[in-house]
Amino acid sequence: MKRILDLTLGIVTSIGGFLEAGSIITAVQAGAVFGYKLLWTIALGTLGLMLLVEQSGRLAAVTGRTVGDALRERFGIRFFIIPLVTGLLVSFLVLASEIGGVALALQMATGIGFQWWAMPVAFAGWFLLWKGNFGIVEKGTSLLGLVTIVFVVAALKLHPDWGRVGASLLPTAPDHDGPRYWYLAVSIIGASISPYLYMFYSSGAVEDGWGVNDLSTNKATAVLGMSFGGILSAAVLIIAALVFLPRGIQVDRYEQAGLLLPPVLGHTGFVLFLASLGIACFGATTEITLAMAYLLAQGLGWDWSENARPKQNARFSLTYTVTILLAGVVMAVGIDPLKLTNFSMMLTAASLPVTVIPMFVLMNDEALVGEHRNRWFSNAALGALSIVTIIVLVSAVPLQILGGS
Amino acid sequence: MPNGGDRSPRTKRRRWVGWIALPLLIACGGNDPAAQIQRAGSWAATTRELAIERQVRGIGRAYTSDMLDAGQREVQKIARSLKPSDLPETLQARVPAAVGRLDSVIASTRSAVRRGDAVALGAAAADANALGDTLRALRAALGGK
Repeated sequence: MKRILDLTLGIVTSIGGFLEAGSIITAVQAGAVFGYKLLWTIALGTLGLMLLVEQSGRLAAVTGRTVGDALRERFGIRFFIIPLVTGLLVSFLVLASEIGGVALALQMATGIGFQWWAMPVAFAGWFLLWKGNFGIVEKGTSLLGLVTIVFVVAALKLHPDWGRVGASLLPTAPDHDGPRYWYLAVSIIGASISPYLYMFYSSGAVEDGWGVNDLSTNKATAVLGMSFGGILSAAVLIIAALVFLPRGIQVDRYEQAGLLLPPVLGHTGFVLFLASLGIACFGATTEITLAMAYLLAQGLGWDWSENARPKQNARFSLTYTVTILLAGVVMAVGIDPLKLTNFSMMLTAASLPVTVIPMFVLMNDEALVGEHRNRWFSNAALGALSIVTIIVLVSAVPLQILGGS
Repeated sequence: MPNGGDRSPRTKRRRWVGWIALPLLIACGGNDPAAQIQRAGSWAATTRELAIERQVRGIGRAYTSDMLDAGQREVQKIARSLKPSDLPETLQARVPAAVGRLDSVIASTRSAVRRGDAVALGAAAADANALGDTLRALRAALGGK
């Protein structure tokens, strides 16, 4: 019974914690300009995330090590510096944009500029990390994040053409605005497969003391949780395709996304949009902050645990304190949240090979994972994903220049 | 060597500069008149939607006012970036006039929101809708989609 409850909670929290600032706005932008056409990128990103989450969870359950630990031990500190620095830099920008997402939700509710909300939001996130434990941070915000199911309800109410939705799951070439199309495709992949997600997941598995008995829970959480999460992202894109595209609304500012639900659900839709944006971004804020502190502590061999009191892991606690407050400062100076979010999603996509390709080596290392190493299917899928990430890396800079304006 | 085979450091440097400058030059195309008219059209549609949703109390007053302020700033930026010399002669007067009209429609929508005047909001939505059609036609005349 307890196992079924754990499994259900794992899946539910994966759904509630799936959406964040980047996945919401990239889906809205894509639907507003290209209709359903970019749904395939959400499917691809979700499959990639599913794969990486399952493998990082399996690594943690079998070895008791996080992805960060395993990377450092297997490749040495000289190599580990690359994913460490890249991961910290990219995650910091994503963190700032998530704080921006919460601050924007508050601005849209109150009319007080998002800059004024940035530091209070950062402080609230820090307070939760300081006083709470891993369960509260992970499950508390993710359960509240179930409010994002409103996007699925709204998408169903709009009665999309399911035939066209299904056809859009296969890649197609754009019929206009090619650079913008590919820019958004790469941004959606970056928003879906953020390295912080599987770094956080593997650290969480170690925090929760997973063992080989938890492998089935891990697989079910990865497959079902991420699939339902991907459906949420797809629902956002479908709503934008049916509400914004016919009206000719393109997204120049993040706040325009506030018009997504009112035509379908009235004032309740507006309130639920603000709640969804605020809660989803707040959940992501605390998770990214923790993921960054985990990565640095694991890389430098410090003690780390969100379940211990802050003074027992002073350097770990100091890291998340400084990180979240600095990210708050970035938003408090008034950087455009939409530009920062788009830029950070593109950078996230470009950074993927740094963690995805080494996973290939880790998950085939018999000395590390023994009989639980990858089979041919996982290797083929991870190999294909590695190729996609390399293509994304090569195309990221030109696309940022050509399609990011 | 006069043709093709020149590989002097200066030539290599020029090629590098060329490769770096090319995407930047293409990127400047994002400010072309067609793209700017399309952006203006998007703000006309946003204004229309804001007016309609505010009229039925589907969205908050603070949010509506903020969005209209932001829209007005964007439209004024578009108006400044549009140079008549970049437009065909037949559109040199019509495009700036349409963008200027959008600026004043946004201002009147904002005023209606402040007064809580539902009738004026309905009129503003109709004005914004008509302007959206005009901007779409101008974009098409410029060779856009």
